[in-house]
Amino acid sequence: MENKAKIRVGLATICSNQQKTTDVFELVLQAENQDFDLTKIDPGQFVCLAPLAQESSMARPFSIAMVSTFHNTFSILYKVVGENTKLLSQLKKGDQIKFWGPLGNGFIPDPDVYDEVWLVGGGIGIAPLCFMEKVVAEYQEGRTRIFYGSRTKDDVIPLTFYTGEHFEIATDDGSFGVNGFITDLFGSFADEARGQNILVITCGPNIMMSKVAEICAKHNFDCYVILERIMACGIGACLGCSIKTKSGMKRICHDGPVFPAEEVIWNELG
Amino acid sequence: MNSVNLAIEIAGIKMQNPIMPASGTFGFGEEFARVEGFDPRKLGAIVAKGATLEPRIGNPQPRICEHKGGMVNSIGLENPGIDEVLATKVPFMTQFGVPVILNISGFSINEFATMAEKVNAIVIPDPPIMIPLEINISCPNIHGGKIPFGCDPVIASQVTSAVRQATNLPIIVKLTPNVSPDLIGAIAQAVEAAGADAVSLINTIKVENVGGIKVGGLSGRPIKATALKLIKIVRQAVSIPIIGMGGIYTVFDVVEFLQAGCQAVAVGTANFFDPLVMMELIDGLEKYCQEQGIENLAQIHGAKK
Repeated sequence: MENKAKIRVGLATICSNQQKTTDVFELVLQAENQDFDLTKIDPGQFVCLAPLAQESSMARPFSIAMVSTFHNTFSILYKVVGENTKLLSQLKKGDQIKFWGPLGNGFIPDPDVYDEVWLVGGGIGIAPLCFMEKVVAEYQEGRTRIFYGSRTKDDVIPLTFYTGEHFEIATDDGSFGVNGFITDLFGSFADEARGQNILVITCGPNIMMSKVAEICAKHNFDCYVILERIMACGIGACLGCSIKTKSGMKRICHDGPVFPAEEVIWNELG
Repeated sequence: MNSVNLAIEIAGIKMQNPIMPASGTFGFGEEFARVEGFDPRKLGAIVAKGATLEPRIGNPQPRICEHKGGMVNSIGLENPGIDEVLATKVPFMTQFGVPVILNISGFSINEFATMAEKVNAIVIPDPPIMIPLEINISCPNIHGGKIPFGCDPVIASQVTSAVRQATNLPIIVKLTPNVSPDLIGAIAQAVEAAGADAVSLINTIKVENVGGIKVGGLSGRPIKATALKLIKIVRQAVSIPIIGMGGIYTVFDVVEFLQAGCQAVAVGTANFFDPLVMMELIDGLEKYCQEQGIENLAQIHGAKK
């Protein structure tokens, strides 16, 4: 999985910047550099956007949430949490932003190995799973299932695949979908699927991913987690996102962000 | 258009220009070499991530956060150890044909000397690449109450002497800013007298309890004024060359440091803001010199006291 491909640095033009919930936006970007090859990007990979705030000094990493080779665009889903994402939300169609990528190692499940692929996303962690779902669906139609957890109805990001039949949603306050944590809903499906060969890929809050990993371990499901951390460089040089794992020190940006769940030491994530 | 020569020489190290990365912001060059448009061959020198005698896994998370327009880090010298650095990282870095400065961090005077001996034994035959040492004396001295070597002129001198005795390679001593401004001149003089060929400053400024980091080092924009202040003091104190660093983002910052008396500069935190910033600074410095009618950097060095 070692990624040695060139990292492209350049400007991207904003094609759209659409508000999806009160604080989540979808930014569709087109790279100026034609060498930024969308066909070579795997789900789980990310890009860094140069910070927009004058006071900022570190790169801003965002998962690639979708790729359209037809439109020659890629998109990110982001939640407004601070000055930079606020400034990002104010960008208009035609504006440009500096970015670099693709970064990190993506992950494409082997279609011959698994009966089904289950994607478990929590909150904004659904972002890389949107792209993952599209890629997996291309060769495993009807064999994917998406679990999406959100705190409350207003936080549920409207996305196209929610109309699919294999889509389960839970909200912590019960205002939409099943009442409760997505991990409980996932756990009940996992119990039902006992004995099947299921691959689980999860992204979201660490507490959620650790619970998903625990359930997978119990059922002997292969599980991959997509980790997130503040990064300074995003390319593997600064060691700001290094974590201790069961197979040594790993840089989330360079060795990840996709990791086999059994490698992760959850209390080392800070 | 006049022709501009950006070349400099520090302690026998010939560099095509005065721009290099600050240790720890550039890894061992492997990652930046993957960035399109980043050509390590264009750098004045490559400066490696700090190596220690034994491998270190570094500090637990959190390790970084933004602070006051710059950033705080507490990486904890995560590195594979000097033997691995010499075996696999040095061959990678020397392929680009520019000097490779190895930063070494010891926790005792003996460790510094041992590492210097190991580097001294390395021969890079073709093309012959100079491997100067940058001695990080900001590390805690385990035989001295964990007070950093660089906070005391006598101890700083002892470290420098020990390395000097172990190698004929050029020695750059990296000074810590976490001392009284009244003392930094004396520390610089002490290491000069002990055989340092150059000094580099400033290392990060110590801060406590920022963003979940108990003790970290502040870098970037907020430390530039302190860096320039201390560089001017050191410039008056010693005659050996200075590699200046601390909040360099633009060509004007580079010029300001050169005018303050630096022979070369290192770029650190700015690399995270834009991975191509050093390439842009090298081109930008040449353009600046052309516009200003400057033919070589000796015309800038120490122009403003």
